[in-house]
Amino acid sequence: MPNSADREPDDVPPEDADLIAYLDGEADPDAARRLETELAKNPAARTKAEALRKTYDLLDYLPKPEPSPTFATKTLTKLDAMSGSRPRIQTTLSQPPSAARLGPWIAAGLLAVAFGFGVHWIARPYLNRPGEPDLADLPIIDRLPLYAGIDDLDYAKQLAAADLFGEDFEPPDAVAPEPAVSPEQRADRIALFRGYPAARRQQLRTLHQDITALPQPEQGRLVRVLERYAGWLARVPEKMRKEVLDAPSADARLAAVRQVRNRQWEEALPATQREKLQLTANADERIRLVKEWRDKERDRQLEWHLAARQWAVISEGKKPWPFSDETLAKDVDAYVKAVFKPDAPAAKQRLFPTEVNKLKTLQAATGQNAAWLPYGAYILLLSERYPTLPVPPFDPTVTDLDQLSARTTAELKSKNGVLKPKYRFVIGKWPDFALAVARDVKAPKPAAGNRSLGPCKPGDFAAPVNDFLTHDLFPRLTSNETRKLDQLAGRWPEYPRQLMELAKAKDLSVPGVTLPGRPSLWAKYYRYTPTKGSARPGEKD
Amino acid sequence: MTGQTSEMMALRDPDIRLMLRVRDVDDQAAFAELVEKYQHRLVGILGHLVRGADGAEDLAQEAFLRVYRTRKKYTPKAKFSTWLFTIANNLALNSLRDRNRRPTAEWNAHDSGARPEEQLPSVREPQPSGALRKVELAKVVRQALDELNDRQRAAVLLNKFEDMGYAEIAEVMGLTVKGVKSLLNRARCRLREVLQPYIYMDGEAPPIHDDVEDD
Repeated sequence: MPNSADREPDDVPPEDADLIAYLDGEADPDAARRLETELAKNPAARTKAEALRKTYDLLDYLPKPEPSPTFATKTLTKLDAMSGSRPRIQTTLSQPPSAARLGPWIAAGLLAVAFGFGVHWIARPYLNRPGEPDLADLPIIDRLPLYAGIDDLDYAKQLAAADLFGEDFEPPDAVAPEPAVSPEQRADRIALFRGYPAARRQQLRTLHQDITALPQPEQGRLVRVLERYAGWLARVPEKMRKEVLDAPSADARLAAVRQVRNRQWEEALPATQREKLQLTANADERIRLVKEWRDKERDRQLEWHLAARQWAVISEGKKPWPFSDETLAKDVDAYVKAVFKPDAPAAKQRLFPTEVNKLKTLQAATGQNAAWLPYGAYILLLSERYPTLPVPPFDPTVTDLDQLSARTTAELKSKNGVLKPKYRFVIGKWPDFALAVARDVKAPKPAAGNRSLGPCKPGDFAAPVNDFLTHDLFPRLTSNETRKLDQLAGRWPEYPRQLMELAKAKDLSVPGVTLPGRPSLWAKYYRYTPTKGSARPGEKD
Repeated sequence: MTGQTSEMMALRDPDIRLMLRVRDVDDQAAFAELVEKYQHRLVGILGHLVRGADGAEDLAQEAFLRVYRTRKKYTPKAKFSTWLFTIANNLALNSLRDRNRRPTAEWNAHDSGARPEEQLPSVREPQPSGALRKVELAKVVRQALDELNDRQRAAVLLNKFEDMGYAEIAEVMGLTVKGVKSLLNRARCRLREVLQPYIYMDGEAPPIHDDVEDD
């Protein structure tokens, strides 16, 4: 019985108990020596020791439960209720009625953050200037806790990096209601805002303007990044916060943020890894280790995240969508072969060799049900990285210079001189070559057959695409959309591109050209929002 | 405990310095630092122990609040982390005991209350051939851990993820060192029994022994 009480007599043979104590480094010196001799001469004992060690290593595969981003804030808010006294954390902000409801950035200490920002800015304080604030500044003032540790839009965008405050797995429709601001809070913030030097005030105005000018959902995403940043900044130990806020420039500030985050991440590692890191003297090796562990952690998180979306089928041992549908699975297979050409010679390969390798490895692993998930996610990513266009039904696709008409070639030459070197990276690749030519010449023509580099009006396409257009896409278009599309007829690549966009808008897959199956389902099951700006300026100190 | 000793302890462990500030001047900023620093480790261990991140968060929060509530009684006898994990471990084992006792809300891993990643396949099917994917491996390991009783699991988690020695685990769990040793022995043997078919599925090649024998 696995759940027997601990009081039962020891059922572990004494030699096993000794072995375990030895492996744990808890055997006394005599016993350790004895065991070492035993292990050296006895292969069965070695096998057992190895099995005990390895089963323990397997525990590393458990995904690590993480506290939610609001955990610390929620915990600290409860102190108040408990002690009945004002917290001694220096803050002029009145406590919100419910930190959870108001969102993470109203956390205790936020105004202290706003105060501390950029000591260099506060060199000439203009405190307590009389007069009402400009009404136009009110939206900025209301968001002051959010903007407190931010220089400009570029800085804000860099915070969205994956290892900072970006969120890989954010649901696309996450909403963040802006917290309400009480009159007292507003008064505090107005005083603070007025205390800033004119240049800092102007900087905040520009920042606010830049952020609110961003299109949705990018704007919402960035605001959530800033919320996480502000919440974090309010909670980090005072000393670290000072390191961040006192940085003389945005770059230095970002470097400080990264440093503090790295330190925190390292502190949260399991003890054995932490120790390994401490024992690694070489700085480059430390960086390599941390990167390796972080990548591994991200991979695992991604896999779990994907698995959670289709958990019901996965846990029943079934294949996930679209691989569960036999026809669809075959179409996906054909699509991967035709569009990514993993087996084509390198010269005709659109993907980088590393991408081909990863694709093949993931594809080869798909025997196990859960392994369909990373494969699905990767082909979705590739399909977005390497979009294609419908191919002509009969003629070969135009992928090389000798397939162009004499006139087009002459035109290209007069523009570019020697052509081979200029196009060497796209020759052999559809539609990359044709698109490059179309960028350089107004109306490029192929040497024979087609009157354009690719099909670009109804009826021109291969039969499956023609059928799709007449039966699926065209009936769904509004008269406006039809008119706009008709105006592009005969123009390549404008016409097929418009087709693809319309199909996507109507949640349809274009046969042989986009991933088989509804685009919305692909997004639902396999898309994660990759965080941009993971370039790491100033990572090294 | 003399003042002299506590000063020496505090010198060695910066967390004790923070906790002394919490105790002596109710310094909430120092407390916030401790929360920030330990939240990941605490929720990590508790999540494995009580099988569920939500429950783990509640327990971790309660543990931190209890640290704060009992701050005046704090004496730096050992590392701060030992004290924190003692509180957390007691809370977790009590909550697990209550959960098991409550006849109406009988808890098991397959209840709908568990989040998808905590649910386990109903049949454990060893698949000794082929590359077992990490996700599936994690499921199997989770299940193996569930085969242990609560105290065995706690000892294993503290040993494995907090790298605690037998003596420290004994302090956290209120047992003798001998008691911890026997808990861990049974736990490790049980884990080996259950996980034996999977141990070379993580990509590492098995060792080549002339004579492989298993009992």
